[in-house]
Amino acid sequence: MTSRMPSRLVLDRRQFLKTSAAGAALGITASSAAARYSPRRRASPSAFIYVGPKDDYGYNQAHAEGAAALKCDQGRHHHRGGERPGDRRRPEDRWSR
Amino acid sequence: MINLDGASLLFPTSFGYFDPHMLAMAAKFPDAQFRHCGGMWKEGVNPKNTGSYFGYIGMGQYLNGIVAGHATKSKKIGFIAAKPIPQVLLNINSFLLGARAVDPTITCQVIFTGEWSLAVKEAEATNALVDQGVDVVTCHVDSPKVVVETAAGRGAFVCGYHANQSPLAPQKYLTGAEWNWANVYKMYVEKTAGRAALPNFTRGGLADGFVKMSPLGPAVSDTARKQFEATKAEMMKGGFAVIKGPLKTNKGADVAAAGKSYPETAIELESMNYLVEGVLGSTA
Repeated sequence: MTSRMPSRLVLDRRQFLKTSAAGAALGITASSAAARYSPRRRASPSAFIYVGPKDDYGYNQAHAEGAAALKCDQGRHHHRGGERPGDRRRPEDRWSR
Repeated sequence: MINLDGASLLFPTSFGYFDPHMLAMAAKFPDAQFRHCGGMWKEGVNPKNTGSYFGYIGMGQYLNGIVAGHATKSKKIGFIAAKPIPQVLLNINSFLLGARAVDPTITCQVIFTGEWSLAVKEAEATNALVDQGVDVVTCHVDSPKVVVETAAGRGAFVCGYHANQSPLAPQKYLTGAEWNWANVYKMYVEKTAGRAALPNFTRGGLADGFVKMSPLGPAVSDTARKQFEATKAEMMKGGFAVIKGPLKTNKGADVAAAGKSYPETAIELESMNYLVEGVLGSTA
């Protein structure tokens, strides 16, 4: 359960996405990924940060099952981390499921 | 997540995320709330917009131990552990004490791998335990998958941890101590939605719905099932103590004198630094 990702990298990437979303809002660029992060969709109250795959039959899966119960009851929640190299999930799914 | 998604309630779930990561972010974003999974938050030391939540899952390992105690023929059970921190030590001690509630001659060999997720070492440790005659194993590592599959492949029984691993070994899986975080997360989100203050220190056990047990597997005998159910019913009433005197560490020091007991809520258990008599292994 140790941190495996330098926090600067995380912030830099998110900063990049934020800039992209702002650009999309101004009509400079438009992509489906950026459109997902328009201010209208910023209503989610909670966020989860994992340390391993969400289907690990273990620590992370237990948290993901708890978070999934919220998703059913309370709308959108955000997740971070938990991907393995070569994971076939679409990148945008990491932030919004 | 805060800047981009507007998140106001964050759950950094990992032990290693508390310091410095969560504390640094909590100072940077005083309007956001952070709740860390584990036992590290301290009143008066850590910020008010942070906190910790955890469950008394040692009770689940005690119930694992009861079922293991009935299943073992060699009277040797085993535990693959990541690091000797209090929560892990309580699980090891609880597993052994549950088994000793069935047969006081049972011993539990523990192997520490040193990391939360180290699949090769976990497989080696499981094989080493089975080679020594251990016929029931459990673990406290992030993903029990390797332990469960390796043990079952060698013909040993397994008790699960964190989540339900029975699909990995349907015939050899006895039961497991699982988290039930849904109840905890719902509580936080409902309080946030109602603009109520969030607790900083959140704990609960089986009775509070923070922890649950996997359904008993096909190899569990009727006798084992009866003792499991009876003990679980006692735990549900509250006040059940796994750590109670007379009890010594495996180095001979006193843990509790006769008559002294530590129920699951006892804060002393969160600084546990010993293995009890009957556990073969060392914390250092």
